[in-house]
Amino acid sequence: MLRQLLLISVFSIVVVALVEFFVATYRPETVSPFTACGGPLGPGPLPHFIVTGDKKIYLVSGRFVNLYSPRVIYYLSSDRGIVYLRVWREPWGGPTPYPSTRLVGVYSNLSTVKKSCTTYLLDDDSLTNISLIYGSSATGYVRGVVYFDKKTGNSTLLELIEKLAIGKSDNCVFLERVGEVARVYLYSDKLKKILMASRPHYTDFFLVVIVELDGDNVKLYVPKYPQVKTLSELAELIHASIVNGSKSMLQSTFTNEAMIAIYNSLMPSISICSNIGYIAEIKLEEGLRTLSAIVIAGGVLVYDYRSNRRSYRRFFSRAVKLLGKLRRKGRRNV
Amino acid sequence: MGKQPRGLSGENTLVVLRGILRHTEFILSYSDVTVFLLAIFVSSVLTIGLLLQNPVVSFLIIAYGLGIGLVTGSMAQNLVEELSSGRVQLYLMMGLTRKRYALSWMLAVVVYPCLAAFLALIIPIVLIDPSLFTKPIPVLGMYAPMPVFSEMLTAFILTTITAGLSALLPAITITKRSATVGLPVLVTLAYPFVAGFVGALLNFGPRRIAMLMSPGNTIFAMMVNELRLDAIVALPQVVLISILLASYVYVASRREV
Repeated sequence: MLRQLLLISVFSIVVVALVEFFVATYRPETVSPFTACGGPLGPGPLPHFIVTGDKKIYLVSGRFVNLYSPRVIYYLSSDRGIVYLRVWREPWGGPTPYPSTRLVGVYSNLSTVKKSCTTYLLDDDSLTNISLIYGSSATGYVRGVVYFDKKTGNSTLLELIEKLAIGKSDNCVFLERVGEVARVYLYSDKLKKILMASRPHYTDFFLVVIVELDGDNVKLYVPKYPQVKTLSELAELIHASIVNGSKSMLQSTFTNEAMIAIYNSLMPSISICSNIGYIAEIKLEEGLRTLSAIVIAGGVLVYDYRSNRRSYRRFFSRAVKLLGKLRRKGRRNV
Repeated sequence: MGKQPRGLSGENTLVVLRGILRHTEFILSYSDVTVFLLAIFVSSVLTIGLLLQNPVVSFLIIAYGLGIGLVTGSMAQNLVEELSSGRVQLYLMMGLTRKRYALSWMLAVVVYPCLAAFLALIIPIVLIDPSLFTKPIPVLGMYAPMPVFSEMLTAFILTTITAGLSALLPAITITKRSATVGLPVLVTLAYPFVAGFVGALLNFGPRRIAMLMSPGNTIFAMMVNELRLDAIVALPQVVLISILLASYVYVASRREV
C-alpha cells in the first residue's frame, strides 16, 4: 500500500513540475504592427485597447481572479511601432507584488491577442457614435466592457457609473470620448468599503482621477471631496467639476517626462496626490498610449494609498515640494 | 530490551499489524489499478486546473463523485470472489484471523482510496501554494463560485469512505458481485439524484436538498449547496458512515467462513 501511495505522490509531483514548466516556457512569437495601443509606461495594470491601422479598436480584457489575488497581468508594451502583449503570471496570494511576477508569454500578433483575450471589434460608425466605457480596477483586473452611446448624455454616463460600481465592477475606469475631448474616470468604491472596514476614520474616502484629453493636452485631475458620502453625490461632483472647469483645483503644466518623474518619484506613495488636487497637464505625444499611462498612474494611486497610510503626512509634504520643484523646472524649460 | 507491545491474543502488535498490511498489499497487488488511475486523474486535473486556472476542476468534482462508487465496487468484487471460491480458507489457514482478514480488506477498499485521494489532492496544493488550502479554488475569467479546497477534500474523503464501506458490506454479507457494485452505485449515485429530485419536488431550499443528498454523496450535496460544505451538511453522511462501519465490524466478527 505504501508503495502505491508513494507512486501516486511521485506522479503528482511530476505532473505539477511538468505543468509548471509548460506554463513558464510557453511563448508564442510573431510580429504585427499597430498604430496605437493602450498600455502602461511601466509595469502595472492595464487599460486594454489597441487601435489598429484600419481604425478598428480591439479591447483586450485582462483576467483576474479577485481583488486580493490577481494572477495574470496583460502588459502591453511597444517598441518602434510593434506592440507586444506580455502576459505575466503572479505568484499565489498577496496583492500585486510586481517585482516577483514572471513572464509567461509574449504575444505580438493581433490574431494571437484576439485568441488569447476577449476582444471587441468596432466599426467606423461605432467609433463616431459610441464612446467606450470599460471597467478596470486599481489592482488591475478588468471586469467588463460597456459601450456608451454619447447621444444619450451625461445622465446615462452617471447611471452607468452607478451600475458598474455597484454591480459588475469594484473599481472602474471610464473613458468618454466627446469630439476632441476624452475623459477618463477612475474611482474605487470597493476600496472605500475595504478602508471603511479596516480604518473607520476614512469613511469619506473616494478617489477619482479625471483625465481630460483635449487636443494635444491631457489634464489629469485628482479632486478631493471629503464631503462626498454617496455614489450619486460623487457622480454629481464629477459632473460639476467638469462643467464648472477646475476652479477648485490647482493647475500646472508639465511635460510628459515631468509626469513620469512625478509618477516615479512618488512611487510607491503617490497616493498622497489625492489631496493635492490637480496634478498635471501633459503634452499628448503618443496618443492613447500616454493617456493609458496616466490611467495606470491613477490605478496605482488607489492601491498604494492603502499600503502607505501611516506615512501620509510625510509623503504629502514631499509631494508638495516635488510638485513645486517640477513647476519651477517647467517654467524654466518654457 | 524493552517490553514489546502485545495484543489481546498475546501476539506482538507490530507483527499483527505487519500481517494485516502484508495481506492488504497482497489484495492491492491485483486490485489497486482503478484507484491508482483515479488518483492520477484527480492529481493531473487539479494541477492543470490550478496552474492554468481552468474551470476543469468542476469536471474533476463531478467525475470523482460519479466514479468512486464504481471503483470501490470493482475492488470489493475480489472479496466476493475470494469468499465464494473458498480461497479465503487458504489465508485463514496461514495464520490470518477473521478479523484481521476483514480489516485488511477495509484497509484496501476504504483506507487506501482515501489516502490516494488525499495525496492526489493535497500534493498539488502543497507544491503550488499551501495558502490555497482554505481559499476557494481560483479560476481565471470566471466569477462563478468555486469550492474551498479544504471542504472539497473533506467531501472527497467522506464520499470515498461511504462508497468503500457500502461496497464491502454486501461483499462480506451476501457475497454477490452485482450487489457489491450495485450498493455503492446506489448509495453514491442513485440516492443523491433521487433525493435531490424529491427535495426539489417538495420545494426545499438548496441547503435542505443538500442535507437530503448528503448521506449518499457529499460531493453532490456540496454542488447543490453552492459548493459549500459545512458540518450540518456533512453530518448525515458521517452518521451513515458510522452505521456502515458498525455493521461491517459486526458482520466481520460474526461471519463464519
